[in-house]
Amino acid sequence: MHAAQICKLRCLTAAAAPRTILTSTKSLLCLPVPTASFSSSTTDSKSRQQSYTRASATTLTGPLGVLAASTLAAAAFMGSMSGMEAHAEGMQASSAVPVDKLPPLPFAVDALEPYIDKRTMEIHHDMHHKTYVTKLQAAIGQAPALKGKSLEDLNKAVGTGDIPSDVKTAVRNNGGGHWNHSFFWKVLAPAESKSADYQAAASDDLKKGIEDGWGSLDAFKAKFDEAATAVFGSGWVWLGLDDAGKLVISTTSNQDNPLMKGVVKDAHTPILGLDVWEHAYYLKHQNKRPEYLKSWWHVANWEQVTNNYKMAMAGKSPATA
Amino acid sequence: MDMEMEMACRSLTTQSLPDLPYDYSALEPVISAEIMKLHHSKHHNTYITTLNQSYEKYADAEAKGDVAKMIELQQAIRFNGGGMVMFDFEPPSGELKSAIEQNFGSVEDLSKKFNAKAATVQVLLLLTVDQGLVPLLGVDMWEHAYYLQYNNVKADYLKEIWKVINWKDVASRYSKAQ
Repeated sequence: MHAAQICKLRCLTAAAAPRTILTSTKSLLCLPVPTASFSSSTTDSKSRQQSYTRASATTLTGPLGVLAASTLAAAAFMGSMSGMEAHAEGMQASSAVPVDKLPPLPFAVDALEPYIDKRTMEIHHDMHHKTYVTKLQAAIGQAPALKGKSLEDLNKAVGTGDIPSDVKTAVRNNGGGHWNHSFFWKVLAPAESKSADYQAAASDDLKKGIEDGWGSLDAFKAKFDEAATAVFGSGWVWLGLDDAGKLVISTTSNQDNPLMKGVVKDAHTPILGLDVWEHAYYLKHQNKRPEYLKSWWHVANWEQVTNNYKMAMAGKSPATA
Repeated sequence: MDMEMEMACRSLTTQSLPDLPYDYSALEPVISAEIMKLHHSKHHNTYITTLNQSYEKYADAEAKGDVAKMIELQQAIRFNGGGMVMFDFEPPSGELKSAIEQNFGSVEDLSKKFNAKAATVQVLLLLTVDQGLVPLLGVDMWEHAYYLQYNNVKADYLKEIWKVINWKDVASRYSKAQ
């Protein structure tokens, strides 16, 4: 290997490798490269610094074998359980998808053409989402303490001691995946429908909230798209209501979502979300994520976003069924 | 900041997209020409462009003494540079075979163990020497690496990919790492 290449390798892996290197045993390891997100769209450089520091501290142990990945997570944030409090007060919650059921799409698989293609909807719903449901069941099967918990409660418990450690990753990834996609199908609608017409379907409150936050719908979309483009790898972009009653844009990696106060820095109640995993757009747009972003706005369900906003303002959760 | 890393990053130069050592269709039917073309001319190319931009910004930030910016860019350099190192990988006998047998039992056992792990990984799984300083083999687990052909059936992609691993190059990396 040339000196320059060695230099590059050191530079690139130094952050992930421990300072002490075992040189005596030339053993072979299967090592996952840690996934990391530096794409939290807030401009908080301190938190990004924390993420970087955490990467440096990742240690790889043992002379050989297949090692576990360490997914970088943002700093923990423990907040109040506003959804639970709403329940306690006897308020009606939004319709919630059962933990063990794949919800049907609220429209035909080709209803979002030409903006989101039929084949993507088929695979995305019938395969990807279904797999999350199946794997979540398997995880719950191994953890009787989790039986009977709602999907929303499972998501809110991610990163806390309420989830047994042997299933915590499975619950995070698959509980997150099931909730995210159930929520997502609801915030989509055929382009010609009234629900997709912002002027007609968005409430005055929502319009005001968006204008207060970004000045205009277009300015909001631009910021949202910017955040969506910056997500490195797999993740989601969200619009939600924070504890201070302000609308915020945030991103999460993998199948995390803003309900997961235990692991997500920007926790809030989502009212709109977009899947930017490659499987959400690759068949139609391949690597051109910006094209996908342009397309998807045609099928955003502003009526549902309005409903979610109303619910969030009342301390209730968005719909997943 | 890690002094070694800082020194190393200062000396990084502009990268360019290396040619593939074979035609886009050479890995058919395991990996389609369409995927190879997108993967190389778009994804890989974007990593290099973004990496070069990050280098420029890094040099800028360094000149201004903007440490926060430098740290932020380290991430971009690591990810996009990582993309480059992944792809410069070129797809067992002798020493390598012995090492594989010693650590895993057989090449087949290695592929089983590797695949079990790869199915859970989002980005890349490496076969490495020691603590990960010298990667020998990598399999891209980003969805773009297989989606057009295999959709969400990762297991099929992982089964097939072992047919196109360039063991000669894995072996040469292994012996250089000794």
